[in-house]
Amino acid sequence: MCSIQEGDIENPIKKDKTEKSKVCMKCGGEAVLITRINDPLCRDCFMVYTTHKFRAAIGKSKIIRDGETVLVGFSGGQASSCLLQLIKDGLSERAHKKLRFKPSLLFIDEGAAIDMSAEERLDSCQKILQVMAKSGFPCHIRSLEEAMDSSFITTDSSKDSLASTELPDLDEQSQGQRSKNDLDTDRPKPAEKPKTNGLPIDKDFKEKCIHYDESEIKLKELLKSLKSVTAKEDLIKSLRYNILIDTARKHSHTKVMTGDCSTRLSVRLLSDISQGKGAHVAMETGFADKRLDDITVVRPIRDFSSKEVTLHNVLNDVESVFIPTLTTKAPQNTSIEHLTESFITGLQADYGSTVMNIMRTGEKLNTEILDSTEQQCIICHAPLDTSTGIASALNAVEFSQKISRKNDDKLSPECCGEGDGSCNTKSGRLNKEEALSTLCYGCRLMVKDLSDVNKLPEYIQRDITNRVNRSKMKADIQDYLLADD
Amino acid sequence: MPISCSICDGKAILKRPKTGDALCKECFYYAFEEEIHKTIIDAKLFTSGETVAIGASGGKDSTVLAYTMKELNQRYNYGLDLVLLSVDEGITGYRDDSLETVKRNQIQYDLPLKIVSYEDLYGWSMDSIVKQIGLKNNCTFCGVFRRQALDRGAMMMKVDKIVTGHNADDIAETVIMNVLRGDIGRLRRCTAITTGTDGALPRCKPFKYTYEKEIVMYAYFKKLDYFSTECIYSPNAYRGFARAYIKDVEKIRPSAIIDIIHSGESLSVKKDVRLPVQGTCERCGYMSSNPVCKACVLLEGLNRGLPRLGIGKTHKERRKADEAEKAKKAAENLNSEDQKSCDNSSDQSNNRTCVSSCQCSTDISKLTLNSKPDVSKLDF
Amino acid sequence: MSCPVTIELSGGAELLFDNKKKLEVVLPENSNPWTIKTMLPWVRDNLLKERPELFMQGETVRPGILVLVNDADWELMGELDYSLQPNDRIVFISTLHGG
Repeated sequence: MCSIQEGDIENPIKKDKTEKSKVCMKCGGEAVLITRINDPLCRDCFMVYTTHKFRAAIGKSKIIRDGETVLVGFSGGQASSCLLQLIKDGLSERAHKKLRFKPSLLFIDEGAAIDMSAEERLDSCQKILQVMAKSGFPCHIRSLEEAMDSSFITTDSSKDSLASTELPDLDEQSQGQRSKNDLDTDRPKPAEKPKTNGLPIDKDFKEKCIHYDESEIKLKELLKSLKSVTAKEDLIKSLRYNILIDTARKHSHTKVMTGDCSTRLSVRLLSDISQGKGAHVAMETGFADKRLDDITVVRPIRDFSSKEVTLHNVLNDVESVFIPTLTTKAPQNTSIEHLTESFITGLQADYGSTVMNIMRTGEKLNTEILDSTEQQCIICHAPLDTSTGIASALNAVEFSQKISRKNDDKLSPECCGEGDGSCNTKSGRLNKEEALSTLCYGCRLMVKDLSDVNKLPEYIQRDITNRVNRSKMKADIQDYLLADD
Repeated sequence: MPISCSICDGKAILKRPKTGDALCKECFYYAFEEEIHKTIIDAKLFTSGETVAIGASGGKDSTVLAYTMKELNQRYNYGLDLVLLSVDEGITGYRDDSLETVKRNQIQYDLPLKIVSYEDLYGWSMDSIVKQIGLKNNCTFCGVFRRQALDRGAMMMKVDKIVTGHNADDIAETVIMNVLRGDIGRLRRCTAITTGTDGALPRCKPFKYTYEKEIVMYAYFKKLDYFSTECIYSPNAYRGFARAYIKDVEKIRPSAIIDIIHSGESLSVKKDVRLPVQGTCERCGYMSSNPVCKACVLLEGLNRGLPRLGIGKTHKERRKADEAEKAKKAAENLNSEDQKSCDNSSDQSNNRTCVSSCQCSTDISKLTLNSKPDVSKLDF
Repeated sequence: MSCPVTIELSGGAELLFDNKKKLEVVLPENSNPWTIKTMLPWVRDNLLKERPELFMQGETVRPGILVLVNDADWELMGELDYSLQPNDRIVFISTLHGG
């Protein structure tokens, strides 16, 4: 049956493959690249164009204050290398209107997630450090598995008093742990290791990289117990985000910068929609992500296409380091995000306005900011999108699941999940239903994919337990409370 | 060992694409119908005593819709008068055959049937449109005309509501397509279960949460009589991309279809974004976000021998047509001016008078009104 | 006519070429002058080590892989129709996440 609808007429226009003009549209010189859909530019005009775009994005937002310290997430890839170069140029004395913030760099080593050997991890960390150190900015390296440490804590303590009072010793403990794990190079460390812009690749560093610690094993187990690559990618993204935020908090930065370009963000936008995270796309892809009270994530090159990023790097001899990911060399149907990327790049090749159109969609969307942290998802901190009312997709799915199964659940909801359910114990373990109640629609999908919620990082389990206990307590005392009026 | 039904332990015959549960035939029918009933009740789609037209194309979705609507209306005493409403686009070798299916459905389900044709409504069948404009863009005409045709047929039958067979896959596909096109107005509207509540005849989609795969399975096991040939004219390529994408995503994660609809339902549009205001077409009175609705523009193009009017870059084509018109009129004016030989050019105070600044004082607003094509000729 | 060219790979595209980032090759004797269109299948059959579908799609490069000819955008050079000159430098950069 034909599904053409009235709106179908305003479709994007197909790219014409006719010969392009070789004359720079700005200065009439010889063009070296085509940008946007059909704009030829020479090298110099392209540099003016990118520099302007970057500085305009920062200037227009008025978010970054003079002298403010900013944590820049650096992955080594094309986009973050481009961002680093733009920052360096913007801060240099030669710059026309000098930028006035103070960056420090963070690389998160995700080698454990893709089963890299210790030597490979050491090698990639060294390469990254070399690039980062050349910038002269303070640099940190942390690893993804640190999020699995029992001492890892990202909760904004000023806000969430209950969580911090319940965990009195943690700060001290985490400090101790940290000195072992965190490779900060900006903090003055023991005398023999002065503040260095050089390479702190010494024996300790090697030792740490080669050492398979408990956290790494936990992370690998967690990833293994997630059935789909889609969920694994989602989890890695969330851990990476939390380490970024944690590092920013530890060093009292209130801004984090990431090198997300428009191509990447349009993939994220569409793949978020396909993963039920429509409510979050505005904060996931906008210039500033203000889901947290204390830290804002900004994306200063979100208007750069991946082509612009890459050509900027080629024409400026900007170094980048390639590190494989979970979906490197994988077929396109490996994960929703991977599929979405090949879908969008394929469409973009024929319809040059695809990425722009998707970003335009995102710009018109909004994320409802809720005032209470109780209404945030424990994992991704986005506002909960699960109070949808009766006539909704969420309710329809829950009904479908209920109606296609027997009514009498064999296991009691309080059960530990082991054995036949007769024990009726809870044994301090988290049960899945409770965990799901604290999560947004998208994170629920990820956790449903997980065989055992007790494999989640401890900080997440802790936050879930706190939230669940608090709402139980609220329910318990409800009858005794006097109404406000 | 055969897999047993997860509800009754009987012999399972399918795995639900929606939940992954294995069900026997009877339990599948039960679950499928209950879900649609729940959708109807939760969204309060109908009120007892209403007459509801089922948009019937003879395809699987509308055939299953007619069957389940009739079934649920009886089982749960909705108190609805159901009628079948078909649009005959006039496509030989496709629609004439599928209309035979609808006519059989009319007898099988014992429901009144009304067929409205493009030929009668617009004076053009799809076959004659294709003859004039070729295979490219013909779907534009079909899509635009169908919407109005259904409404007009429904008004002739004096119904209160129209239900269509749009399923979850169709809606997910539309969400993706509107994201790709940056069409925020439609993106916001496309997940609504009922549309056109203000003034126009309400339309609803009881299959909003029903997977296409389950509709096919239901029709297959119930041996429902439906027509499954594709239209002989070329399909819309761009919508095809969105369709291919959601099918691929569904393979990776079967819940994705519903997940996309959840996303669509929870999108919130920034307050300062201007959305097109729904008004009515000044020619035919049908709802439209432009002064003249798309159907009227397309029809004008066909009747004036400018079939590209309203396709692609609308403004460009319209400007061309208007300029041609203006040139013609200017030539005429020039002639009459010569005859009248008016000389007073000082009257600038009233800018609503004749542009040629003569003293003829023709009211321009009247002029434009009169120059509009005669709507009554358009066969509405 | 044979034609010596330099082929460079980065952004992860090198992984399909046994991690080689730079290849100096001589395109063999050919009845017609070499173009990028005729070079691509030759590269695929002679230099590529694995997963040809991640390098080519149809007769062109997979979307998301950027092509530069002597440090200029290939879109300016006629893309597939560009006639290769001796000692040209052709760069393939993957802009895809994870290469």
